Amino acid sequence: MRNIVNKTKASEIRFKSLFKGIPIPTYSWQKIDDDLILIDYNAAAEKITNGMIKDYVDKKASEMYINQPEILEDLNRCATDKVSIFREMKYGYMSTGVDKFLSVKYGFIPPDLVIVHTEDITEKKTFLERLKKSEKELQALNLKLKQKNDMSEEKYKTIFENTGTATIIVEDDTTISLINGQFEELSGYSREEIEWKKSWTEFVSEEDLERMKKLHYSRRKDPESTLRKYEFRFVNREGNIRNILIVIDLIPGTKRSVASLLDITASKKTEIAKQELYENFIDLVNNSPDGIIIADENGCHLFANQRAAEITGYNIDELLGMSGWELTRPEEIKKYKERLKKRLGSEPHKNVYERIIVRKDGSELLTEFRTSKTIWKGVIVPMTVIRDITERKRAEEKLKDSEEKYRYLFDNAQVGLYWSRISDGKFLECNDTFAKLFGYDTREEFLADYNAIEHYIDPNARNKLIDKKKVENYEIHVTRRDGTPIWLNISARIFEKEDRFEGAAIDITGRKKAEKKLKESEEKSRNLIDGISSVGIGIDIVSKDYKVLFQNQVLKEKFGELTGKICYKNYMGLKAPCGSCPMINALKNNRTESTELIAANGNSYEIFSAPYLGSDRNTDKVIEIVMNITERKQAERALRESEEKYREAFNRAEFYKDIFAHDINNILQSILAGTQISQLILDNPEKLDELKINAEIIKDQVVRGSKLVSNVRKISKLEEKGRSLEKIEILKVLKNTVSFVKKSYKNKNLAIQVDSVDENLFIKANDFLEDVFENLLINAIRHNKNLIIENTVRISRVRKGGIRYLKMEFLDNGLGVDDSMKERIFQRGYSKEKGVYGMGLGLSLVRGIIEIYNGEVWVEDKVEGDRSKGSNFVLLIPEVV
Amino acid sequence: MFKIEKILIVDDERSLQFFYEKILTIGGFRVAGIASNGKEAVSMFKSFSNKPKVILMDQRMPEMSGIEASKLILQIDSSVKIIFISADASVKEEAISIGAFLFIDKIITVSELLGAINRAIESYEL
Repeated sequence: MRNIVNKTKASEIRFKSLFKGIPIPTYSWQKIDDDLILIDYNAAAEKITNGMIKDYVDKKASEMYINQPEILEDLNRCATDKVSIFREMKYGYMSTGVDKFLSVKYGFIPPDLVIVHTEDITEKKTFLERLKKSEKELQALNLKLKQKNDMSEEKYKTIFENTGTATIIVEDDTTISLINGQFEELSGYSREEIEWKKSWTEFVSEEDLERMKKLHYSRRKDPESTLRKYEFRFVNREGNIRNILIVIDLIPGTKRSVASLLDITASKKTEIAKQELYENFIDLVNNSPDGIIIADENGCHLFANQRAAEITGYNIDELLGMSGWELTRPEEIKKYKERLKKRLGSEPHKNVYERIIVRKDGSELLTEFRTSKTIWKGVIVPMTVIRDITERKRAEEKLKDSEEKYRYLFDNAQVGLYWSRISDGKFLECNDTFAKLFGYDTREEFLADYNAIEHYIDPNARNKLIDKKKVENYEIHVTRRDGTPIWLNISARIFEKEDRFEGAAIDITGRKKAEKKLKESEEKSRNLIDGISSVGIGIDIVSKDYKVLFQNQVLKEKFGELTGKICYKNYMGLKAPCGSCPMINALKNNRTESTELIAANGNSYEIFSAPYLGSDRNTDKVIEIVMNITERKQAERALRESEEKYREAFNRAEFYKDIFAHDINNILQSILAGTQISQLILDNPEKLDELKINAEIIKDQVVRGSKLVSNVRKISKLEEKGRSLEKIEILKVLKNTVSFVKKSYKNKNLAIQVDSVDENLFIKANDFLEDVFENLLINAIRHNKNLIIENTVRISRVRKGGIRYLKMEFLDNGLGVDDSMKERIFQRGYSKEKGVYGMGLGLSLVRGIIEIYNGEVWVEDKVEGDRSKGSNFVLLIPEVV
Repeated sequence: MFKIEKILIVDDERSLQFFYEKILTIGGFRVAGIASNGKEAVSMFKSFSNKPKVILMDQRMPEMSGIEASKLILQIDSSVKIIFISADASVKEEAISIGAFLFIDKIITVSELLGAINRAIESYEL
């Protein structure tokens, strides 16, 4: 559509430009009553009158040409008789006072116009007069030459010099023998440089040279039939080309010729310009996007251009042989014939209208007719410009649809849309949505009442906006009609030249309020954070990609400034995120998560992570409360260790109590049984030995009971006493113990031997060492059924783990210890296997003591794999050198 | 009248082994054997061609407890009367449930022990 409109406009401009650009001064006169009024003129007319023609517009011809009745008469005759008039005349321009020769053409344009073309032919006229004069002078010269005898050379020369035209005399061999001053001027050479030195051929362009040489020689053979007057291109000293009209003739009775050269370059240029103008006009018509048809008063075509042929489907020859009615729907012929009549009769009529033409193939085409009149071969005839407007119509329909759609979109958009004037803030257009933003019910109401300038809360904000030329998502704060403030998000463009502002707006007041509240909330949070900081609690905000976004002072002091850094690397000193990262869990589960972690600084922290909605409204980060729980953890650990210790102590106490109860029951049971049996046999003298045995057993049980009590006490002391040790010579202690055991078991046949690697053997120990030896020796006695109870204590040195130990082996010939019991008999704690018992408290005490000495105790078969041969209780105690 | 019923003594306490043997002798019973732990008792019981009718069984002993040993013995001969003599009353119910004839708390007098053995013997006769 735009193309079509542009093309049409361009075509019109070209036609108008053609008229206005005609280099011939042209004037339009309108007949009013009995006079003619000057109503228009073109650029050439303006130029030739030095612009003064404008002062004559609207003036009457009768007043302007009161002293030139012949012009007034021509104008009136053209207007009245509707004929064209041509006339050449000398005219004195009233505006400039300059006299010119004009070729004047009067043409009548119905209904009442006279177009006057005034071609300046002054130069042409002058040239022709000069040529006429030159020819006359040449003839006179020839005549004079014929009468040379009667005239002196000086006289001829005077005549020659004063011809007023460049004149030369050429010798038979083409040498120029004589020139006058005008030729000097034309050629640019001096007389001395040319005469008898140059040939006329040096002044002729290559294109014309051969032709002129032929004429030169022809003239000398047959002067009568040789061309005397022709044009050629003259080359002057500077190499410039001049168009020359030459008149040449032989001097009678000689082979010399005399030639007059008239410079017609200027008139040649005008002629070329006219020719070009004509060619341009033809070209323009032929290339016009519109069909142009000129017809006679009956509608028969006189002229048609190529485009007319294309539009109608006929070729140009066909068109010229037919009338416009053949292109008309039969039912419309009458209507258009009447319209033509009106056109030709100067009655008011419509000269631009849409008309359907019938093409050669019978199809119909919607066109636009622009009708006017023109002069064809001196007769005024109708001219029609035909334009195929099918595409334009389609485009117009499309545009109409499109406009309707856009109008609908505009009116119904959920976004406020508007145009306003920059200069005064007046709104020129908007939709209802926009009007409602400001509290108006309708756009009409809004447009009539609201002004942008009056409603900016910050008056400078509007200027700043205008300075930006174009904005997107720009926030402005204005007021509604009732004065309440409103925040708008606008995207707008400023068209400064058109004084126009157009944009789209949405109400973001709610969001701004929410943001304000959020900011306030954040401020409160900050205050809270500061408050929490004062009690030593760390707070930070961490993004889902582990970046620290915020730290309070507490964390900064503990870990340094970590904003923007990765949390697990800088807090924890880890290469990968923490296994129990509370941030990840909090974001995943959308709830507060906590964990305890040990930081790179060795301190323990309890971290609570909660999803955090910041002012950016994204839940891709957490706020964390970080509490240093190092002291609490230490206290918990101490408490746990203490609990463990007390639990162990309790279990041990239970264990000891259990063993004690068991052993003491057995002791009492033995004493009771022994006593009752003894009572039964007390009066029987034969049973005296048996009675003694019973008494020994009862005594043994009492000793055992006493030892049991003693062991319980010592175990208790062992727990209390801890590790206070001193250097002790073990052989001395061992020998004392052996001596004590032997005294205690006088009735037993004991064979205790000590076999030591050295005499002076020291260990770090305390007074419990004696109990170790005593318990091992007594156990060996109690669990032995042999008559001779053997026990050998073998002492040697061994190295283990780089430490020197004394190895003490107590080898007996007792009952031995089953493999399943070898570890259990040293048990020091309470066991679920209550039913299985070892060897009483003694061995538990032994292990407790030996562990205090940093030693080890175990039992193995004396003869490996044969428990019946007895046991070997082994002690390893670090030796003190 | 000499009673020929054989009784097995099972106790790790050597003084009690001695006195139980004396009491049984006084009571007119024969001691089939003395075992110092459960494992030894089972082994010994298996070896008897003429199985003892009563077993005096301690609970807490090395290598194998009285309960464990009783289960195995009763699997061999469910008619044998096992009398538990123990200070560990916590296993009393378990002992009865596995088929022990009687559970007697230590400390026990000579007459109580002999009475218990007689009841066990009499239960056969019934």
